[in-house]
Amino acid sequence: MPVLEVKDLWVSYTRGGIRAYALRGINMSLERREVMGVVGESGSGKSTLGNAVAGLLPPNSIVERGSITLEGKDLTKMRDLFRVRGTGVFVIFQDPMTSLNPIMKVKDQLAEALQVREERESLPSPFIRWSRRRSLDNRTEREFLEALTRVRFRSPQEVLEKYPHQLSGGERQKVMIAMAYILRPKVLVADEPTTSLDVITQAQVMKMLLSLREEQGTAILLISHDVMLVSKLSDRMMVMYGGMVMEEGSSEELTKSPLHPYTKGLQASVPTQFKGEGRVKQIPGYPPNIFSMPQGCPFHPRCEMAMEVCRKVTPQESRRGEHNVSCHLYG
Amino acid sequence: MVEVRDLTVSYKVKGGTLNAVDGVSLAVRKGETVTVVGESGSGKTTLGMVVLRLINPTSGQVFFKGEDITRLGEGELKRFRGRMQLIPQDPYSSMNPRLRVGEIVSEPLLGREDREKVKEALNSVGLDWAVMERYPHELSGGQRQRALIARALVSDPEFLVLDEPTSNLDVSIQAQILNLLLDLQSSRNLTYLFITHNMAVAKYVSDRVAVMYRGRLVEIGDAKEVMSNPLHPYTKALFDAVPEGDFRAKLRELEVRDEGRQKGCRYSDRCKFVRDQCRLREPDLLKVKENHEVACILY
Repeated sequence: MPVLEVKDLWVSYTRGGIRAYALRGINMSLERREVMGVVGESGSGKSTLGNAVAGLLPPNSIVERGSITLEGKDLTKMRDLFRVRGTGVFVIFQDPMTSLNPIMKVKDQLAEALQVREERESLPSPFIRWSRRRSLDNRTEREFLEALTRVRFRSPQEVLEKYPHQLSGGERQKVMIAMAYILRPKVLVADEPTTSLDVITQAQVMKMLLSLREEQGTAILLISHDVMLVSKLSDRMMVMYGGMVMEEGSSEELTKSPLHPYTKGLQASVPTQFKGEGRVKQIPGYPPNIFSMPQGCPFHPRCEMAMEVCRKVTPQESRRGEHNVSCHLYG
Repeated sequence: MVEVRDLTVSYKVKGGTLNAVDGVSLAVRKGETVTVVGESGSGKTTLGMVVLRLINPTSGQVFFKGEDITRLGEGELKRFRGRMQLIPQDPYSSMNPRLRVGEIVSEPLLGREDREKVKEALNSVGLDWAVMERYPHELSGGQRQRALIARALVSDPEFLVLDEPTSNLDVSIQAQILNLLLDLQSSRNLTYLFITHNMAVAKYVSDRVAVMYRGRLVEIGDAKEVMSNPLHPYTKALFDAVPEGDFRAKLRELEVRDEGRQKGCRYSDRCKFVRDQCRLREPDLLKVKENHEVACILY
């Protein structure tokens, strides 16, 4: 049974009295220990999907239809979502500064995480009355140091006493992963976790996310605009555009033999050649805004294979071998 | 075209000084693209800013077409300003949100409002001249980046510093902008100093590649040579971190080492091949081939 299952999910945003759909009938399932990659450009709905799963949709949005089931519970029907955040679904965003409290030391933030987990496991928590001035007890400190060591901090003891601004971007992201080690979430949503980091730090952070999954069986929803990165790290991936899943399948399959013109275009727009040895293919035009979404297939204005039917009818998902693809070229 | 010699830029930090750029010598020839790669904090952006004299160097010299511009004052620099331009990373924070695109693009003309020149610049980057009347927030990210390229071109520069010009863009738009930059370079015979941490982008735009690590130039050479035969352990680590091949296996083997401040080679703490001699002194760039220099005692 999948840990997380999304069925026919429609989410709308309202701006200036106008309602527009950011997600239009998304289906997805995630097994334990599975990495599902979500790629797409700005406005594709990939972050909305991540936020919906984490129960972090902004106030001007509504789940219009569909369900998000985490271990048998429908999150869209829950009124006490906070009971799920952290231990059920944990989120790592692009900028860890937005998730970490700037005026709390690392140890205090880890302590909050531990408190949350222990309350949910309803163990008698030593932290209920825990105050920042008091020192950590031995068992707790050991757990924190172990979590920080797992994300390869050389001197975890020093990191405990630091404030977020005293850490680099990569180190802050590692603290977030250490927090995940303490919270032990079922699903980890990583929304562009390494986009602002350089390649080496990116590789380190990704290594740690994969180790977390290995050690705790965490299912990971990896959201990124970086097709190469996602295709190398995920087991399965979905390509989103205009709030719809254009193509979905095993990452290996999708990379080797993509079907949808958008998937092909995305892959081709990553440069691989040296200067003067041919040009990278570009997708013409710009990604659409959800408030001015074209009729029919959302990709048709930029698609070189566009046919008459693409302008009028939204394509349905169809099965092709190991893929699911939404394109009129395939049925 | 542009040359820096033994350039150092230091910032005062708590408990001492930090050399953001540390004794870098580099020449960019007319019509070529030299790409500076390195992780954040390697000093690549600072280097770009000093070359344009937007930051003053602590020591060393900057030459533009043979003229020493290191000590020129603002007044004298005006002569050079239009001939060298910057294309910054973040299109949104680099535009005054209260100016129309037309005004933004004409900024380098220093008050000489020349609608024809602005139109021509917009045209050359593939923007409709109607955007002149729009405000930055009305444009998409790709359009804003195009407008910034137009702004850099309007004063007919010969040399451009491009600081991560595509890192905030969607991949499909990145491809458009890269192709545009290559086209402009050949049609206008432009010289580029390109700064990026994206190896695929570096490969696609460079004639030569310079690798920086914590303020120091550790390897430089022809793009093809450096990228197919990297020598410095740091350069190798950079290319190994690129998601290609069996990336999961590469990650399993990836060693994570913190850096510390130590004597000798500044990469020695993170280096797989470190030896005792590495701790003694900082290695200098050494020519190993006609088109390839590296600063490492292994060579």
